[in-house]
Amino acid sequence: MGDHSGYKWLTATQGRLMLAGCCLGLALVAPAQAADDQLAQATELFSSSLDDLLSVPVSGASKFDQPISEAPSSISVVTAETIKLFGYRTLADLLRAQRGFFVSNDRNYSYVGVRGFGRSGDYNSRLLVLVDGHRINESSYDSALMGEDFILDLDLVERVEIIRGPASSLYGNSAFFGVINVITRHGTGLRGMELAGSAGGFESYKGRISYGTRLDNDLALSVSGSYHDSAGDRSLYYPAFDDPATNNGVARNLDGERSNSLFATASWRDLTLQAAYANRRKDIPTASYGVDFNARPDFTNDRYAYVNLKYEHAFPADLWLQARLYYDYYDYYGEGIYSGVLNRDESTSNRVGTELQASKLLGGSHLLIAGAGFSYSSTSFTNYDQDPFSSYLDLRNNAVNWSAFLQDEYTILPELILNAGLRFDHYEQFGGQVNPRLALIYTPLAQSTIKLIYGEAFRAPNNYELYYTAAGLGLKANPNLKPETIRTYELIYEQRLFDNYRLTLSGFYNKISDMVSVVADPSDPTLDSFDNISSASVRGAEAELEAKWRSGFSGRISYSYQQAKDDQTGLRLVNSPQHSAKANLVLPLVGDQLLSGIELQYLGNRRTLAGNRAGDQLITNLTLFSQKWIKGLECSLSLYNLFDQRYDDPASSDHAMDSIRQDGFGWRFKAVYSF
Amino acid sequence: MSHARGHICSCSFWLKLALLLFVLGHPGGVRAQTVTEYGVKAAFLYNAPKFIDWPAEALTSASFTIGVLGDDPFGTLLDQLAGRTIKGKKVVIRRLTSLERAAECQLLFIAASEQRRLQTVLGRLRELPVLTVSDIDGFAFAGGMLELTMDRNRLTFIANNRQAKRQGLKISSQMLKLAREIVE
Repeated sequence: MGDHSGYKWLTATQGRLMLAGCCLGLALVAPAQAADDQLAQATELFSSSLDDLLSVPVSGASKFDQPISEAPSSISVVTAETIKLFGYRTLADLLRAQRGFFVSNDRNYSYVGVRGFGRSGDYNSRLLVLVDGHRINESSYDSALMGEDFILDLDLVERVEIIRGPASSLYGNSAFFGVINVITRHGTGLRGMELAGSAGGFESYKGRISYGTRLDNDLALSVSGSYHDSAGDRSLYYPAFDDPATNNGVARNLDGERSNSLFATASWRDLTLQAAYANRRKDIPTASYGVDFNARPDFTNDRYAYVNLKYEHAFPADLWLQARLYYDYYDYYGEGIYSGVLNRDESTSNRVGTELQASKLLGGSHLLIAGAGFSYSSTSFTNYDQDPFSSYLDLRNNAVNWSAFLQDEYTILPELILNAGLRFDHYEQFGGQVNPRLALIYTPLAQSTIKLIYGEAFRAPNNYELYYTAAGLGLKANPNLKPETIRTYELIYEQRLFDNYRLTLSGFYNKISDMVSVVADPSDPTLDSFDNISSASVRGAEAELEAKWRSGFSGRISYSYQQAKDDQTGLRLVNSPQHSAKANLVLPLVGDQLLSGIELQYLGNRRTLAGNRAGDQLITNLTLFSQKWIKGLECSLSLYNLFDQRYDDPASSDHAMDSIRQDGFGWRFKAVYSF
Repeated sequence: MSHARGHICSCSFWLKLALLLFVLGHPGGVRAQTVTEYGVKAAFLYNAPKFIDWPAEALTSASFTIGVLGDDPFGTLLDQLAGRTIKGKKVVIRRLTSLERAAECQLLFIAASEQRRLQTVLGRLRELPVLTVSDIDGFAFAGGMLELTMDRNRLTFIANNRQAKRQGLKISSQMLKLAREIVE
């Protein structure tokens, strides 16, 4: 790093300041305490003029966010800057780099696993994803789409808070392994016009246009639209289909992806109105669900939209109120050819709901949060052959659920906080669910925090598991399905060292009960059904070290170990890695104008459904990011899987193959222009 | 102990040598130049009011109160100001967890911990002749008066003059000239 203004002479005042600094330093004989030194410096600064304050060079590392250490969980925050420096294309890319997370892809969807749990074929229904506090897990499968099918262009994200651990005591359904809270750039972060374009490997293109403004009457508006198109890998070989009848195992031009999204927010004083829309179509080359190999069409299309109205106000006497009204729409349809006949699978869901949340500081040491919610959803599932027409499934279902929760953050002593929360959820289908969470946060020293957490969470069986019944497809519904539950015990230790290092150590035990699995119906073995028949235990430990140095260097390294076992068989769970490690490093190359982000991700081997192993993988990603050469322009070049590692992800029971080969080397060039 | 990484900015050769010798000769490894981010921001809070006019009714009390809302990032730095005077009044530092006492402050620094509730906080302060200062990214655009930012290790600020005028405060042109950006 160098001073770009060249060899510059100090002004007399700056020289005096520095000399004063030196003298003060010299005056302190024994190893000086930085705090005292800092105070002395500050006092010296008070007598400077405003002009000088704006030109004196500042040193000292940036601190970590204090609020995170008081939260009843282990939280990681990923900022927009990090997203740019490491070239994350999707939310899945972002999560893949986080301690304890791993992502599998079957060339259709991205599945996020946490702490050794990520059963193949399960949707992302055990992670709750929020966008500005609004739940975006859809109502048909309770899944959150985290690839290019995510509701937002990642450029619109201000930051992502990854809240690990069961959080149903606050958020209800799906907050099983954690909550991913995506905070968007509306309001403060989107100003003026922004144009973005990118081109990448596999003929991928993406474009975005965004605009944000604040009018004189306090009305802030922001609007954005994106488009993405990728041809994917035009030629994919699958040994399971290597036969002259199935094109010798080669799927041609079936990896394409196309998506578009819209996002708009208007805020005026205490009101915020937000609307989002995303539509994605992905061709599938793996012939999943038993369709004819290399036949077209073979695709899924997911569409998600929502409108959310939020009111937030701070009342006298430390009372905060937040009210929400929302409408969510989701539709999915997929087509595939079965022995020459076109089949179409569809689901549509509409959800309307309201939430109320109040928080009050009581007696100076109790921060109470109370809330209630109500939602009504209507879902439909259809499945039919087009020609000759044959309907296998046509059902509609309505559901009502309501909830109430209470949380108290009790500051017993300045260094001891007790966080206790309880939530009651009532579902029409299976009655009530009560989920507690208890956390003790102890800060014996300013730089050390110990957290002891016990929490319970649930995953309600989704509408697909409850109602999808189609004899012609070999599936029978089980309306008696109960929610899956998880009990988590966790111990976390966070230590800040030397002001710019943070060490996090955690140990956890997860007991997952009443897991929903596919089982042959006892009365008719030709039919499969879902039932709460499994349970699993996961034990693990994680360690992470983060550092932020001056001049822009920063790094993060983490290792996680987990043992996830099926309680009935004693075997390691399918698609569960025992070890994983991540390393991220930001290296400034030319001041703050050219930076590089280097990322290494190691994932240990995982069992597949057939009992084989999907091997170890070590993936390296490199991004070069440049800014401030030309005003308003940011460019980046990202190289993914730099060393062209061959690696596979375990497949699900919907695939003929046991594991699916992932992409080799990929790249992306991106430019963003703001004016 | 603070570990400032070793880069010393460009300066005359002799000063560099003096610093080098000083650094090498000191077992504790105290760096000569430890002007920290919050040190310079604290000094800014002390200095800025000289260039700003409050409406008469806001300065009736005997003290000039600087409030910090949220998790205080200054540590003990701001306390060094207690006892000094701003606008001829004794400086009082107050740490607020809520907006209840905000009206008693002439200057309110909003900490990064309040970022999520920024709109609501600014909404509550809208009617008050309080100078709002923060280092939250986008603060000025959202309606705050002075946004402090670090640009290549130097302190800069964005002034929302429109909002200041609306709330009865007048920022002198002398200060506005030094602003990196003015929201009008």
